[in-house]
Amino acid sequence: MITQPKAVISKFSGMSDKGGMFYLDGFSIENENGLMSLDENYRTSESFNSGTTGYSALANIISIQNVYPLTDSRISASSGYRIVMDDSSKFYIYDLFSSAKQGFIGGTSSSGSYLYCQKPDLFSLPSGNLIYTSSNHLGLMIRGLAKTGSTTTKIIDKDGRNFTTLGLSTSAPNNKVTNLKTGAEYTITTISTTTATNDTLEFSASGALDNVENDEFIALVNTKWDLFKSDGTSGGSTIPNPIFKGQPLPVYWSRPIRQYGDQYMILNGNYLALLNNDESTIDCSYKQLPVGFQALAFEVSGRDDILVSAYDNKGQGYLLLWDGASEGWFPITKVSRPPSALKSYKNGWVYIADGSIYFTDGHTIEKLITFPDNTNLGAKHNTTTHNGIAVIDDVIYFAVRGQNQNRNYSGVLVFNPNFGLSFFKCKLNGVEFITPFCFYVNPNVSISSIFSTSNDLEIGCASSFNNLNEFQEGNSKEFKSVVMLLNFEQDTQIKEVWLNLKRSVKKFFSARASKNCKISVNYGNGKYPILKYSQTGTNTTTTATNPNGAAYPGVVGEEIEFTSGAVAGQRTFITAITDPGTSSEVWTLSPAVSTASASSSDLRVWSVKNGETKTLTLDDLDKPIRFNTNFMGSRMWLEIVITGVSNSFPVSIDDIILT
Amino acid sequence: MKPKQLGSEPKRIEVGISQEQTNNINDVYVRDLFSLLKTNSTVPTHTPKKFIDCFYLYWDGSTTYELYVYINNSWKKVTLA
Repeated sequence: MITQPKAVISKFSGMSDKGGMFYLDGFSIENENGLMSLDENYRTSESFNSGTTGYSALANIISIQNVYPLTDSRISASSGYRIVMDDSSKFYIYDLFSSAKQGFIGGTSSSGSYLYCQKPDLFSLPSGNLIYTSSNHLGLMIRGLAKTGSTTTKIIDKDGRNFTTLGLSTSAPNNKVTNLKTGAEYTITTISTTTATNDTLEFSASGALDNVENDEFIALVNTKWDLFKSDGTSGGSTIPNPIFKGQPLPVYWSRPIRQYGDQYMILNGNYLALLNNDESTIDCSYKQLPVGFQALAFEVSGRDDILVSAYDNKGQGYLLLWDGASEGWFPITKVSRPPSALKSYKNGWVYIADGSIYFTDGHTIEKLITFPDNTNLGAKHNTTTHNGIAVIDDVIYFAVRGQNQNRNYSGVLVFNPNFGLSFFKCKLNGVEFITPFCFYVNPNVSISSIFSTSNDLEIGCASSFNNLNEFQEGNSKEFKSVVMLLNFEQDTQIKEVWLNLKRSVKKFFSARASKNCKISVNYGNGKYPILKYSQTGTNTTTTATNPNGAAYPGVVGEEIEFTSGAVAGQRTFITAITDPGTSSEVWTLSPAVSTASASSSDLRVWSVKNGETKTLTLDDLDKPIRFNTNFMGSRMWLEIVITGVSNSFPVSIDDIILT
Repeated sequence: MKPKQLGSEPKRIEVGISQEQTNNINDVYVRDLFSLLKTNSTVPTHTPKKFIDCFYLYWDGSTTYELYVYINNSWKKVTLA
């Protein structure tokens, strides 16, 4: 006889300070004709990373631009290719179909007065050129096609432009040109005339690599405009640096670029700079912030209003609104934390500050939701850079960084107004919890066909370029989890947890072999705090040393989740401990993690023990799946973990029955 | 005994400024009508975005007093005695 269930969970809500799930990692909440479900959803794949040939020096990606090939280009990427900029002022190209040479295409960290900055930006112009920011300059990336007559030692510009006038020279840092088809980077030795004045760049050959007609090239004028001269040239009046005592060095400045009408605005410390569409005229002191203010981020709204996030010389944060015409700023609103990213949304802007998500129209600020780890003091979720917010449909994504011992660690926080907050991890070479820095919503519009409706959310991370997949199963090193706190209000024995499961209906089923899944049900009674910090010294695949065993002793049965190191993101259980409570404590781990590590790793210890883990197939899902537990108490921590296996499918949990 | 229902249905969060707050913002624009127009020492070149910004007072610091009005996408002026 089937026992009467003691409790049923069939309604789900996301993470929120108003209640809901304790933790949602990789899951979302779906609703199908009133049937709510917890669906395995977010998973990133890596397009390239520092381990990919051509990208070995890739650092933190701060800006991504999709660029369409120039008309007649030999690069055939009809949906465009990506040029990314990292925080060491290096540029990389990525073309999904490899019609361009993949990898590094130019850029330097420092040369003469040129210096990278930690939060630069890259912006594609209608002319085909791109502009980018560094500590002291706005740079120009000239893009063009090679003309007939180009050889292994010269590129003639098909548009006949005067390269000297544009700012190229034979001196660093403005003396580099790269063929995007072959990937060859050349140092310019002579600028000469073939058809039009100064239309030819000459250099030493790079092996046998040739420059043929319609090869696409870029040439970098790193010091095109001096951002500390009012008109961007040496003849302009000097903008003081620092302009107030205590102003940080420009290498730390945030320098986003945004379009404003037919012009381009650049954040310039205490100013907004404005570049004309002629790609020549610039006013680097176009609009000044109040005295002692340092700008962090800005964004132009759909109504052409400009909102700036800034802090003053005392550290006080502000939001400043400008209509683009009036004198001064109005209003100037004090905020406890100036956001490091703003995103235009509806008739205003959204942002995250200290774990809370806000909407503002510049006059009024409304708090939408708060991440539940948020407390008034201490480190909380904040966006990592000015390009760290993306909006697709009604869902807002935040690239955040937090503390690795709490729930609010690095990754992408997803705010869905329908159910609240969820979270997913990014990765580098398969290792998770990598910090994301920027987003690019790629609409995949093809210039050779009808308008596309297929969006990509591309994520610039530390040394890795991630692409988000939805309703996607994981692979063998990937874990998605749900943690909830259940209140029975009286001591209750739970012997079994039943899950009614299905394959997620949000994505069609094509590969019939993808019918496997692996699910763990774990539980705890709150005897120990649900989350604890720990650190291993070294680990094999089945053991880990705990040199801090006296301060952070392990507990047999508890689940550990690596948050840094070679197996970050992986979960296992402590099954035995030798020398407990000492500096020579060693844990036995089961199941095995994927690889050994000679370096220390940070951990989150989840105070739950494994009830049962089952490997299932779609054929098993015609009835509830029963997991043994041995729980007794009034409050139960229930964790469900999905582990990626070979040929797995995205799992959907319809309801949870406790007996 | 009927099983206990645990978990809660999510409430949709509306993103936007409430009507009450919008009314407060409108008050800001009404307030513009109560303040004096500023006298400027440069001629206007900007594109106004609010009603009140379509009117502009200019004084060259000497004997020239002008009222500028933004009309048909450009600034027109009358000289004041």
